[in-house]
Amino acid sequence: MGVHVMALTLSGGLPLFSRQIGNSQPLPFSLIASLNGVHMFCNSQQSGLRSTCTQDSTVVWKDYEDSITLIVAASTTSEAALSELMNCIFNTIVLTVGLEEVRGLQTRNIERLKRELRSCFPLMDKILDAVDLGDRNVVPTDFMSMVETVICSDSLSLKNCLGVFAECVESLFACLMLNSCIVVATGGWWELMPEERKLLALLVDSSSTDCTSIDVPVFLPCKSPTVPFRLVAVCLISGVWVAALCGPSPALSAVEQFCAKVWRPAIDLVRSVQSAPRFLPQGLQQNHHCIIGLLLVQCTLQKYILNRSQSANRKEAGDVLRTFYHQAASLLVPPKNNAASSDTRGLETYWCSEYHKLHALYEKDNLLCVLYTSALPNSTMRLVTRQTLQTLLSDKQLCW
Amino acid sequence: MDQMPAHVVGSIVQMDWHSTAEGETVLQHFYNPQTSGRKLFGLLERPPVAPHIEEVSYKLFFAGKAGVGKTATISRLAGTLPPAGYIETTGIRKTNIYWPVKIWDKIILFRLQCWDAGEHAVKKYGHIFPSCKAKSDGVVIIFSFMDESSFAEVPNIISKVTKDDQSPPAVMVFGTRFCLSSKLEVSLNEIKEFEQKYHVNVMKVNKVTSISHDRNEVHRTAPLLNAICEKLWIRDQEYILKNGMTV
Ligand SMILES: Nc1nc2c(ncn2[C@@H]2O[C@H](COP(=O)(O)OP(=O)(O)O)[C@@H](O)[C@H]2O)c(=O)[nH]1
Ligand SMILES: [Mg+2]
Repeated sequence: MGVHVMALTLSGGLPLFSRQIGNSQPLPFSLIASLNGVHMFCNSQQSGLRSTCTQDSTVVWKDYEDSITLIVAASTTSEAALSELMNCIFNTIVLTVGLEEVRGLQTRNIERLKRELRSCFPLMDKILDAVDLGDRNVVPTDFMSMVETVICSDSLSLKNCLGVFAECVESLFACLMLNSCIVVATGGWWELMPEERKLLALLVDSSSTDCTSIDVPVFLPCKSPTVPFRLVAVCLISGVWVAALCGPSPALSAVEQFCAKVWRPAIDLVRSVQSAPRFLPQGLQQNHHCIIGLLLVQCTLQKYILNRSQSANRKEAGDVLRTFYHQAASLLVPPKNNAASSDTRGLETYWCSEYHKLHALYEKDNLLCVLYTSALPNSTMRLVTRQTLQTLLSDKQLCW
Repeated sequence: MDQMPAHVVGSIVQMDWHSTAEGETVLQHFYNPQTSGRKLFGLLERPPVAPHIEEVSYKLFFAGKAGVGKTATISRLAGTLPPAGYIETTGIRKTNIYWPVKIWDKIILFRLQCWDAGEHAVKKYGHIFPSCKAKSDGVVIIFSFMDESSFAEVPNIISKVTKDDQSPPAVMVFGTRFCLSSKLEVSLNEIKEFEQKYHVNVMKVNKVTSISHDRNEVHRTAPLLNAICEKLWIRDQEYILKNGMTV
């Protein structure tokens, strides 16, 4: 059945929108009405209806701000994953229309809100696309709040340029992106909530098709849900965008002028970004032929890199590492909010298969997963992972 | 504006140059080899044409009622695939279109900066309209042949974008959903009257229905782009004539 998301007004059950992915038809209106009906009935009986499931699918209901009900029906058994997806969808709504518009739903014109919400469909579709149901029917939502970054050999110089640019446009929040991956970002950008960072990256990605700059009002779901910023993004060269959250000024044309002034002298550097091909940093590649690929996650900032050796198959290396991350490595990360608890979870884990070996090491907020050739002895694997982590963290040019 | 002599379209820009060998050769640089459509260029790029070719840059603001086809028209001019379903534009979208033109015996590279904004965003946020209109060299007003009210709004838009302006932008008008086989809400007579009153040619367009996204696209779009470029060029010449003495 894929994934279906529906939004309705909480008080009247009027449908606001419905989206789906996968090769499935939209749910018939009568079914949406019944799903909402049972939920409303439970609410009226002062009992909450959270979810229900069959052998291979789950329906989850959630109310937000006493004004919107979201219903998700999907072919998965993970209620937690769907719940996270719903928060993400709700954040998208806030990002687009602002929290006041959502709260004032009863008094406002519903038709207008519906129209306004249509403009976030491309962004929602990006989010739903990221919910890869695959053949295992899991929803790897851990990637949902994480942004992908790419590392360049000269990130430091790029970071300096970005700093100058941010100052010109009077913004604390700026980043340089390659497709929807962050290349470098200002300190302020990393202080946004991970969800916000992710949505902004997806928004630039979804609104920048076939144009060369955008200036879009956005609310930050956590940091600024009622006062809009302007997300201004300019294409420097094909695939490489610079984005900033601005106040009322400077206008888009002025931002473009600053862009030209700051980035034109650094054009070679910008070109080098375009070719940043997600390969292992050179030193690593030379010293450790046994590494096929790696996934490094910064757990607090919720950012990751996914790199591979030049000879590796991109999709295969990526898929294996992701699977390993979801099924084994992510369990090493202590859950948020209870870092102080006397935790007895391990710091390392590994898998051995016929074709490869995988090893993960969690240390000081960083989780490194490495994919090795199967010939490597297990004990060496531990050593190399540790060394690799050290190399990645200490390289000043990489700016991890 | 009324006193200006009406130029005959095509008297300055060589309208069929893009089909000549020279035109075809220059246009090679404007395609995206992956999609076979045309390519967009970032702020720090330009098509790899000979460096001596002069580049002129203009700001165009696309105005008109919601849903008439502003975004679709820009994507058509840019030679990119139009969005599948209708999604109202959020905030401002700007598309830089490079277009080579032969004027008399010289090739000039036009950079048309097309500014597009969604109606809702314009109403909700005060900064959007001024940002789009400020210092525009041209305003492309779009209406739909299938929506009488969108045509009725055109004169208001003209006065809104030209009033209190030292050098008012060139005004161009496009009518979308033009189709001779169906009943149009806006009649050709109305168009004729309008053209005489405002001294503009209404350019009639319709969505290209064939799915083919081939290089013929350029030849279908060339007349529109040429007309825009010529209009902008003439405005510049008139400006120079008017202000030339004082230099
Ligand atoms: N048949 C037809 N449809 C068009 C034409 N121009 C635009 N459309 C459609 O009208 C809808 C609105 O177009 P859009 O460009 O997004 O309108 P905007 O709000 O002015 O930007 C889209 O679904 C387009 O595909 C046209 O010339 N003919
Ligand atoms: Mg539009």
